[in-house]
This record gives sequence, C-alpha cells and structure tokens, in this order.
Amino acid sequence: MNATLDTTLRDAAVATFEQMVFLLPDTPPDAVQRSRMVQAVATIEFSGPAAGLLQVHACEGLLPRLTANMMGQDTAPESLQLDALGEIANIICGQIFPHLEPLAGFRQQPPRVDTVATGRGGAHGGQDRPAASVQLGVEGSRADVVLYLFAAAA
Amino acid sequence: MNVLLVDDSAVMRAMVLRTLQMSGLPLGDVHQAGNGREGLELLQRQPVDLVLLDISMPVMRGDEMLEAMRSDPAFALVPVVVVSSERSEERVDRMEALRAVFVHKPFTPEQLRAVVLNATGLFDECHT
Repeated sequence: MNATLDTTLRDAAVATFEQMVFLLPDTPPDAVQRSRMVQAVATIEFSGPAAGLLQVHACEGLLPRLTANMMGQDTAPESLQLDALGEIANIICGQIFPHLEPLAGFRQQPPRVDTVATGRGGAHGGQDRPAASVQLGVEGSRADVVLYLFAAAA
Repeated sequence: MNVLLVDDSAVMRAMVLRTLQMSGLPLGDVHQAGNGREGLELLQRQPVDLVLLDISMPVMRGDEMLEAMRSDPAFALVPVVVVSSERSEERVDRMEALRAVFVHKPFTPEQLRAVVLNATGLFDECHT
C-alpha cells in the first residue's frame, strides 16, 4: 500500500465524518471498536484517468448513529441508514480523485450499498490488495475505508 | 429567506437543512424535491429566494434543472448554490457560466453560510 495515499484517504474520511456527520473519529480505533463486525458496505465505482472502487465498511451500531447525526433525528428506517452510508462513501470518494490523477474527467457511479445479510458485502471487483485503507473508530463502532485501484488496460 | 433543496438523497436534504439552521442564516419556508423535474414543478408553485442543488440525480440532473431555470425568465435570476462532491472541471465551468456557485462536500456550516451569503447578495446586509 502507498503511505501517501493512506494519509489522503484518512484525511478525506476524517473530514467527512467531522463535517457531515458531526462526529470526531478515533484513529486508530480502540480495542472495543476493533472488535465490531461489519454490518453493511457502500461501494463507489469510478473510471476515467484512473479506475477503481472505494468502499466504506460500516460496523454494527454505526449506521443508526450516522443517520441520527446527519438528519438530526433519533431514529430512521434502514433504507435511510443505507442511504446515509452511500452518501458518506460518495463524499470521501470525490475528495480522492485530485490525489489519484490531477486531470479532470473522473466518472463516479452512484453508491451501491449491500448489507452483510445479502452476502455481497465483501465484493470488491476481484481485487485482492487495496491501494489504501484506513480504520476509524466512531463512537463505540468502526468504519473501514478501503480504496482499490484497477490496473490500466494494456 | 425561502429555500428549495433539490437532492435525491433524503439524508443529504436533511443534513443540508440542519447545516443551514446551524449556520444562523435567516431561513423561512424550506421546500424539498428529489430530482430536477420535481424541483422545477415546485418552483412554479412556490417562489424561493435560493435553490440548493445536487448534480447527480435520477429523472433530471442538477445541471439540466439549472439550464431550464436560466432559460425561463421567471427563474433566470434565482440564486443557485450547487452542493456536490462532483469535481469535474467541465461540469463546474458550465454551471458557473450559468451563474451557479459551488460548495463542495464535505463543508462546514461556516463555509455553507459564506457561499449562500455570497450567492444571495445578503453578505452586506448581514455585515452592516
């Protein structure tokens, strides 16, 4: 993995949680936060000067807190919780592009959000090794942000 | 100040509204639409002082709604703030040429306030 890209990804993720969710993430997460299991995954595919995908893995307990803070209400149905996770992934992804390639022309697909219950939560385009990743402790839970880059076509 | 929020994400509409409220701007009626077409229909019924607009939406994108607004004399001068994570220079340039101003996600309440004040011409009023 690329240390500079890890830092870029961490900064983008922290800024997104601070400014859009009004929560201050812990980096790295503590032992309790690390023990949490992944509940849902938001995936953003992108193409253009560089192609790949960005995923935000939300662990148990994170989605209700995320949605409550973004919407300013105590409870929200699961559909809105998944919508919130997709938006967070979207915002993090948009901040990464200028650091991947200083050219315009990235095309970002709408978020796809899978729960672990659907069995598709770990799909990442057949890529084994992420280009960058960061774990954030958020309240008593955790978010894992992972960036995969696809090799350029020959 | 009456506002129209246009975004296909109900969470983002609520979040932007919450940030507007935190920013201390003088808010009146706040209307919401889930895409550009709904936004145009709402504008016909509810005059507003400001439109906050996402870009990527189903049915009608934000840039298409902006073009429709600017070609209609009734809405040609309504201030539009584009709230987006989109950073495509081509699209940003095209929308700025149609007198839209951008605030990129993520943003703070202070940043949103500054952009809205600039777009609506309220800056002087709020500082005198």
